[in-house]
Amino acid sequence: MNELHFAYAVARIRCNELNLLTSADFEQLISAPDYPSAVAFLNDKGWELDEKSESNAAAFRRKRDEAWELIQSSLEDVTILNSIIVFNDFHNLKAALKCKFTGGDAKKYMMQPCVFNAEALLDAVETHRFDLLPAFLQESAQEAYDMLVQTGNGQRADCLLDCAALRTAVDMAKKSESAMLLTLAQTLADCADAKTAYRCFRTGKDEKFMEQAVSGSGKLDKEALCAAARSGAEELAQVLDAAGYPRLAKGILTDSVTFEKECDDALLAIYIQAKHSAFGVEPVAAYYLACESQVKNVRIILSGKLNRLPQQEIERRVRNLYV
Amino acid sequence: MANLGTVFAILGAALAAILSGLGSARAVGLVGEAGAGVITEDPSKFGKVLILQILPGTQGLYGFLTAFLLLVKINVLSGDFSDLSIKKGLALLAACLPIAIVGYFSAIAQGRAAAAGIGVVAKRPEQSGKSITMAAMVETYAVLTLLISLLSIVRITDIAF
Repeated sequence: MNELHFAYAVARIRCNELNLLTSADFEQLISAPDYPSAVAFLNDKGWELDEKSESNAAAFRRKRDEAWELIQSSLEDVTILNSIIVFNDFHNLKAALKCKFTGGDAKKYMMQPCVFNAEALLDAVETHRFDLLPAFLQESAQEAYDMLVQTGNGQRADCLLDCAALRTAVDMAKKSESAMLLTLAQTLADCADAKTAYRCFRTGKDEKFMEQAVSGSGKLDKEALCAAARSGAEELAQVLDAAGYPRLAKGILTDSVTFEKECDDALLAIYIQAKHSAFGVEPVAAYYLACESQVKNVRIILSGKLNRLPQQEIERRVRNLYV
Repeated sequence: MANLGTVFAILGAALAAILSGLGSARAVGLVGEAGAGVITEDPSKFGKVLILQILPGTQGLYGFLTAFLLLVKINVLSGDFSDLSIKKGLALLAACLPIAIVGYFSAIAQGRAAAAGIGVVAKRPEQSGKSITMAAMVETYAVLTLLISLLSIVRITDIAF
């Protein structure tokens, strides 16, 4: 794809960025007196939420789908963005494998957009024809399947697939030849590994589990991270600080809410640089991530309103904005 | 060998027209692609987009003007292929190079600036005047080289060597 195609896509994205919620909108939303008022405010902005529904999953999914449809209609070849959507493929694989064992309906757990067709993935798992899956899913699918058969341990199978997803995302980002997408994939892997290590520390998981759960596909030293997770939060903070994540280090020493927010804000700090680019795939990727972040923020606020959290508590959880 | 001077002069005219035209075509295309993206979402911005798209087209016009003047001056358009000395032919070729080279690169640069300006039109249409001004700044260098090329052609054709 040449620069001309990206010029068209970026121009369309810039127009649609006007439809994203601004910081003033979020301030208004946070200060809404209750859940119905917050939903009414969002509906005025065209979100089509159901006041009686507590999850509004369909409306959130619609928002994501709209963003992806815009990208699909603007780019000739969307495979360049595989590194940011491949996580949905691994999510779908998890759902398909688990439903195969529990007999549940995996279709309702399928997520879009994905690199490999979700229905074809479901068929491949149901018929145990992993050879029909794309190369990046085949090995992980077989390993996770074997693990579920042999141990029945869903958590370990999840960890295996999560690690594979992070490794695949980094590989795909390298193929995209976009420095921003690669940095994003590596930082995402680092944040995921840091979160895993932190949770392992909090729940007292053993060394063997940590070895399997931490992917090591980013810039963080896996061994140092696992060793720090066995020691404590301060040691984890030191590893993060040394790796160039001082805010994450500070967050891990504060509490899990702050740490999770800092992880998302670290990713935003990377893709927000595309806000002023006139060309390239980066503004397109950034728009999709901004839409996802927007949905996450709306979810956090609505959930806070439902649970009657104080305004300051909601503000503490809301992620920084792209626009 | 007798007409080699004329061949060099025509080569200069061709370079001026081709390189400047090529640069403008690429740049206008680039801005057009970006502009189409804005029009897809908001057709009311067509006027502002069009101004930005026109800007990098001027280099092609300058190249055409230079080539036309040269062809008139050496009487090629009137069909009189009278002999030009090789020195004079080479001098005329050199005279065409400023607008040929700077025309090409300034058109591309202006196209990029104008395409970036399309983003301003998309997000802040009220500020589009500033983006037009910024893209127009690149024009200065194309105009300067046009002047050099035109003045050189006029002087070289008037003096005998």
